[in-house]
Formats: sequence, C-alpha cells, structure tokens
Amino acid sequence: MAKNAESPGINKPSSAPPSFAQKLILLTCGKENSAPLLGDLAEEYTRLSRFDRRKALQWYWGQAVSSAPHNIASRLSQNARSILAVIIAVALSYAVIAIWDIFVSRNAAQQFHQWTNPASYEPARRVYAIVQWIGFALAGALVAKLTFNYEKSLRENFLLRLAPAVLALSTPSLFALLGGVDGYSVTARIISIGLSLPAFGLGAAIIVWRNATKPF
Amino acid sequence: MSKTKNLGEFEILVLAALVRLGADAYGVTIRREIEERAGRDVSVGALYATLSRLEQKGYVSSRVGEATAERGGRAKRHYIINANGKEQLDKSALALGNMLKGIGPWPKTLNLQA
Repeated sequence: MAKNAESPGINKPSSAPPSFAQKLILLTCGKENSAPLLGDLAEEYTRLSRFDRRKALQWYWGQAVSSAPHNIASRLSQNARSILAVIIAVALSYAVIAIWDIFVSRNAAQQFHQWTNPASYEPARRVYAIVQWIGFALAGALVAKLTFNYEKSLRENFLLRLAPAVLALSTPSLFALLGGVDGYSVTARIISIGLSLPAFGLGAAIIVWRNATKPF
Repeated sequence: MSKTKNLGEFEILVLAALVRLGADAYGVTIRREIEERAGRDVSVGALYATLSRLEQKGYVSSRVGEATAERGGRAKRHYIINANGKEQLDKSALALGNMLKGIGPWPKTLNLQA
C-alpha cells in the first residue's frame, strides 16, 4: 500500500483489482456488459487503495459477490426470450425425434450399433439413422430460426443459444455414453453423437446463412 | 398508467440521481449520489441492473464515454434521463407525496411536491 500511496494513476500489479473478483464479474455479467461495471469498480478501487489496500480489496470482493445475483438476473431477463425460445425449440425437436423413435422405428433403435457390428446390419436401421440426422438438422434450423440474434456476435449466439440446445439434445446419448444404459458400445455412441451434432450445426448454419442480412 | 411502467423505490432513487447529476451521471457518481443522499450502499450490479431496466422501459438513455487509466482503460457509460423518465419520476413523486400527506411527523425538508 505504502509504495502506491503517492501514485495518482493505476500503478502496476500491486494496485490492480483482484483478478479472481474481476473474473467473477465477467462470468456473471458477460463480457459485453461488464466493461463499464469493471471500470467503475477499478476507479473506486484505485481511490480506496490509496488509503487502505486491504479495505479496498474487501470492498472490491464485496461488490463482486453482492453484484453477482443482480448481474445474473439482469442477464437472464435480457435473454429471457432467447432462453424460452431455446427451451421451446429443444422440446419441439425432441418431440419430433421421439415420435419417430416410438411410432415409426421403435424396433430399429440400434441404428448406430450396426456400424460397429456389421453382422447386425438391417437396411431399415440405416434409414432410421438418416432420418435422425435429418431430424437433428431440422432441430438445428428450428433453434437457429427461433433464437439467433443477428445483432449479437457469432460467439455469443453460440454460447447462449445454440450450445445449450445442442447439449440438451445430446443428453440421452451422453448419458448412454457414460453409463452404457442400453448396452450399446461406446464407439457406437460416439458415432451417434459425432454424426448428429454436425447435422444440427448444418441445419443451424443454413438458417443463419439465409438470414444473415444484418451484420454481426 | 401501465402497470409495468410503475417505478420501484430504487428506480426512483436512480432517476432522481440522474436529474441531480445531469451530464456527469455515470456508475460511480450515481452510486455516490445515492449513498450520500439516501444513505444506501448500493452494489454496482444492482445499479447497472436497474439502469438497464430503466433503459428498456425507455426512461433513460446512455452513451459510451471516455476511458481513463484509473479505470483500467475501460470506458465510462454515461446515463441521461429523458422526457418520459422525468414525467414518470414526477408521477411517482406525486403519488408518494399524496400517500404520505397528513401522516406521521415528517422532517420539514421533505417536500415531495416541490
């Protein structure tokens, strides 16, 4: 503290705000909204640390922690429409895939199993696999159509809108991969996820490409 | 008056701070103003969440200001209350004043309708 006491400006690492507290704010607030908030905190922290660095640290951490629920709530409310749209899109996509599985291809659920077990090959299962990929592509298109915000960056769209949907749709396969629920081989499951996700991405990419008239 | 457009207590404090501060209103000064006048120690997160909500309601607007070294090179975000915000603040103050009129011994300095 003493060595910084006479420095009027930001003075090197010793007077820099605690980096973990900054990360907490970045995490809860989002990179795009955090700049003015972090700037305000840095300004106040610089002022306080001239008098008592320990107190300044406590103050900064207090602000970071007490701000977290507000930041999260604000972020959720700003993205409420998108989050709801992701949920609806995933539910609809799930419904389409489940309906196909239950009513059309109930006994062909091992479609990926045959890829690693050629002896079990049945033409209908390949048809099922192709339909599932088409289902995932349509799901990707639906999620992109309902949730993509062309005023936000591609990265933010992916993290907040597409990735949660992909994760939700992959959950059954991931569970099966981890727990071997249905007894299929791990390789078969990896193929299942590995081929479904690009299909989802392709569907989403087509919609984004078609609608990308506004700049990111 | 639309139900969703009603102001909460903290929103009233923030709008009043914006009126007082004028062009100098940004996160640090708004927090300080509320702390000094209302005795409320507010977290920056709560303040920015409220400012964001007021902006969505159309009561304030913001612009990106200058970055300084002591802010770690990050720009300020200046806020300004607009005509809608002033009108809503006026309505809220009037409603509050009407509700408080005639009850309690209030400090003489409290003149909500001024």
